[in-house]
Amino acid sequence: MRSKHFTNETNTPCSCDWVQERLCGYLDGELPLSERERFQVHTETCSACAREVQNARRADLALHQAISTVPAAGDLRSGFYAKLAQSEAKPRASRRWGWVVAAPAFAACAIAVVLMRPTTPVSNPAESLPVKNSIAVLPPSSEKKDAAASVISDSVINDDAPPPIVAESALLRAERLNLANVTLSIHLTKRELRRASKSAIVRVNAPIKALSSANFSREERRANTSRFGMRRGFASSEERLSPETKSFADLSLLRSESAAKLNEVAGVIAAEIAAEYNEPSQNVMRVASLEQTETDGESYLEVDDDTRNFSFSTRLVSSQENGEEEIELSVSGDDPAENPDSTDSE
Amino acid sequence: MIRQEACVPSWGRPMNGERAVTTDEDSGLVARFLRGENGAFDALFQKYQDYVYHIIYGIVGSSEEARDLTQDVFVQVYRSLPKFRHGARFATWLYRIASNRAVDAARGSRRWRFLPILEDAPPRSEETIVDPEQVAIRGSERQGVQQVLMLCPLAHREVLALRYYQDLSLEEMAEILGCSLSAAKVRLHRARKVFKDHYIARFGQEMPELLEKEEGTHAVKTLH
Repeated sequence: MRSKHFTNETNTPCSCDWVQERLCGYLDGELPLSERERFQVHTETCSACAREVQNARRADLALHQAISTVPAAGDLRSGFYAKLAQSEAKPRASRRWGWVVAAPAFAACAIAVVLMRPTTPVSNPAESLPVKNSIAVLPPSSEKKDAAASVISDSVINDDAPPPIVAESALLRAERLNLANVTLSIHLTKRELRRASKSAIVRVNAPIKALSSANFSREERRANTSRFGMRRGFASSEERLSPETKSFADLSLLRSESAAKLNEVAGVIAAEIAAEYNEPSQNVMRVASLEQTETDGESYLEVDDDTRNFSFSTRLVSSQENGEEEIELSVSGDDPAENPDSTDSE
Repeated sequence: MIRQEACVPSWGRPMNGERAVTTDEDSGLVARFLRGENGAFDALFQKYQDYVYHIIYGIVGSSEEARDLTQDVFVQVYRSLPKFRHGARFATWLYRIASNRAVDAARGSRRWRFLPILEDAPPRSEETIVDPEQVAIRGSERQGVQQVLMLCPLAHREVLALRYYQDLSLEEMAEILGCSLSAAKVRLHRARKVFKDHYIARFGQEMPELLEKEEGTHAVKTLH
């Protein structure tokens, strides 16, 4: 029907819109002869459309040649088999995290092991969970297997009076807090339990001395705040931004470097939790993405584990007692049983 | 008279005999792998690693990330092959996993992905049009394709990567994207238009004299 319609109009002038609609078809040689002739007649007299044809042809050509500009992949086999070996140690990576995301009760028991005060016998681990705001600090990753967990203090987290949340990117925080040398603690809030949400909270402590001093003017601070969607009102933390974050380009590089650090952190977290289950420590997690919410000031860090995504939300919390700041990472994700990977469907 | 040489290479072509042979070969390798021959998977890996890498690179725009994701994709494929539906085309299934993985990665990081630094921007073509320099400019344009691609929305980047980085047919693209043939075609057309607009905004319009010189000839000739 369509071709007949235009066949009747072969000799009638066509509009620029008509030409634009058929631009791709023309370039691909797919137009019926009648339409092609009309197209060409139009472009012979319409310089604007002729230019558009030329532009589109040029862009198409660039796309066709784009493959030649792709950097070489190099040797991927060794990396592939290394990853495969890692994943083979545990048939499904998600199972390592299944307790976190699929079985709150299991998670509760697991965390309770960490939360137990050494001097407090707990017959039923689940009973220890309502002990709000206890923190168990694990030693650095290099010694994590041998050292015992210890409880240091009540948490600085208070559900009723939220800590100052710094609406700043997780990467910036990671950079500032020098997360290459982290100690890890695991914390499960009462609120999390009450909601029976499928999540646990992992807290990363870092010495505040790693932070650099500020060189920002008030105007620069304001500019950075708006540019990155940061929430205002966190001058005390903002002042610790390092001078390297002054420019847009510099910050992107900083993020790039920090992504590697967060990868390390993700791996440390995985290893620590795996160690709790006497499983082989495996750094199988990979930071897939970062996303900052602008409403609640938290940053979200998505982590891939080969089969599905997890989300780490991070926020900076301040300790009134020891003057240290901590990063809190919340691990959460959908139950893989409820949301099977679509790519596995075939 | 229609000048076929004025067109860019055709697309949307049906699967040819070579691809049919490839499909049979892949099925054989998959069957051997499922019977326990790990060497068969190695053959599949060797055969498809670059293809997968190209698709992912076209979407995420980072060679390092593309390499990493490519390895992840093959790990996932290794794990999922027992679920592979017999009769389906392995390559299409593989590309779908790769595409989904790359899109997920790109989608998650979109808010933190900085626009590429376009330091190598050539002078706009209105300024000087001399043949040798023009060739150099065009060379820079080609280098800038990926940068321009990253300016396009993710959905458009995906179809452009499948089409131009992998040279897939529309039928294959529709299967990978999980849409109808016509929907895939519309999506590709829109993506090409968006890319063209970004590309021209980035590299400028052709000069009229260049238009005349190229008119009726394949633009490739100006590059050599």
